[in-house]
Amino acid sequence: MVLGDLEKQVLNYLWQRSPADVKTVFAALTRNKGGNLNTIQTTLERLYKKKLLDRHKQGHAYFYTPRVERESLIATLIDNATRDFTALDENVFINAFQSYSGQFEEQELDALESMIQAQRERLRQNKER
Amino acid sequence: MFTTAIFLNVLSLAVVSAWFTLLLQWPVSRAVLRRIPTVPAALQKTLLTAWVMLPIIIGLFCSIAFILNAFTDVMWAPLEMFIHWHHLFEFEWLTWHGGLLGVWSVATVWILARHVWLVWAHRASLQSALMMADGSVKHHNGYEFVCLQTAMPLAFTAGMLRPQVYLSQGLLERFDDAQLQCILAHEAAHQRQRDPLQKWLFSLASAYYPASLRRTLRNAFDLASELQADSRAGRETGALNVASALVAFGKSERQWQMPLAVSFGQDFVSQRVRFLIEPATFNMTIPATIGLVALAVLTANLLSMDSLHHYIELILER
Repeated sequence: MVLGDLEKQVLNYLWQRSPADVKTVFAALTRNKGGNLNTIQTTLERLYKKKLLDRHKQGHAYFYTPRVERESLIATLIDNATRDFTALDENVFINAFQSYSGQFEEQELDALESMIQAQRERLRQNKER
Repeated sequence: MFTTAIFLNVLSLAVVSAWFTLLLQWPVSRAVLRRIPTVPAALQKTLLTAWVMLPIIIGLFCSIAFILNAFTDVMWAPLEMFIHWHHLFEFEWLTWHGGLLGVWSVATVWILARHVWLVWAHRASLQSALMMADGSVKHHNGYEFVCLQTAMPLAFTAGMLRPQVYLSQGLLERFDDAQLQCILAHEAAHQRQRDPLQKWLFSLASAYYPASLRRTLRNAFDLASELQADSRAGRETGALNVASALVAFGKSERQWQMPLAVSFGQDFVSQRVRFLIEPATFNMTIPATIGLVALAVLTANLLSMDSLHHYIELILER
């Protein structure tokens, strides 16, 4: 998934104040950065198609709310940067310090911690001899 | 005209030879790969690279041997029986030679295009992530990294020609100075070794292998890259400190139920910690075994190219 600067601004606004229709978003964003109503409308539409926004009709206007939290979106984007490869061929061009899978068993990690501790102890004893 | 025919014939021979090598490697690959983790990490990467490059190297070697035999007298006389040309100055696309070369060309263009596209897609996703997370350059104990404004614990190195280390604010807040030093030393090792580029090149070289073997080869290379970065970080900060940081990282990320995943899981971390506690020592058995396999495959290639040619023609004539 690729996101542009305006998409980021719109999302940032909606994370703070939602639901909002195109006019509200336009009024808020033009105060800082410029742009026109059509551009904001297209951006909202694009974010909706990317499944990042939900919308419901009220009168003649659509009101938009974010479908994902900020942290979750960043997680997905970084995941995409790696999974684009893994999905195609289980291959990763990012070298992570460790997996983000959250699948480590507590017991396994405790066992590894004990092994490290035991090795520290062995080294300490060897040094003392 | 003659030059084109010679070039295409030589290329066709190199392709047949490379594929024949790959076919011979296939049944022994798993046995070789099982033994590779018993040597030091840097040697693991070299051996894995040599293994995936073997079809290309032997293809080139066979082509050179056939050319030398055709145009010079340097070849050993008994070997000439096996490596003579049948139609060096003629090449027809509508033959099995042409078909084979065509299939290889299409496969190569597809593999190259896909790998280039993967780099672009990766870069685009990463740039979006950096923009959303307000990435900014920071320094810690002499290490430079891009800090991502997110509470998730993240640490990775990305970028092909100019790799960069990325750490998240969540990671900086969660880990103490000593642990951060281990993580940064590990990532700096990836950065120095240009591991993302190495992985990409390895992925390209291993693309012709069957899917399951390709996956095993790439996982083995990924693991070797991690082990090498761990051991380099260990030299700077102490191997057991790196092992402890790995376990602490594992514990901290268990709290995050985000849909994040890279290719390695629990076994990978377990292997890395074990490798840090008891690093492998250099032994010649594995490199010697791979050398012997390479020699046997080369001999098989040189001795069977001619009969393989006759055999295929015989089958096609029927």
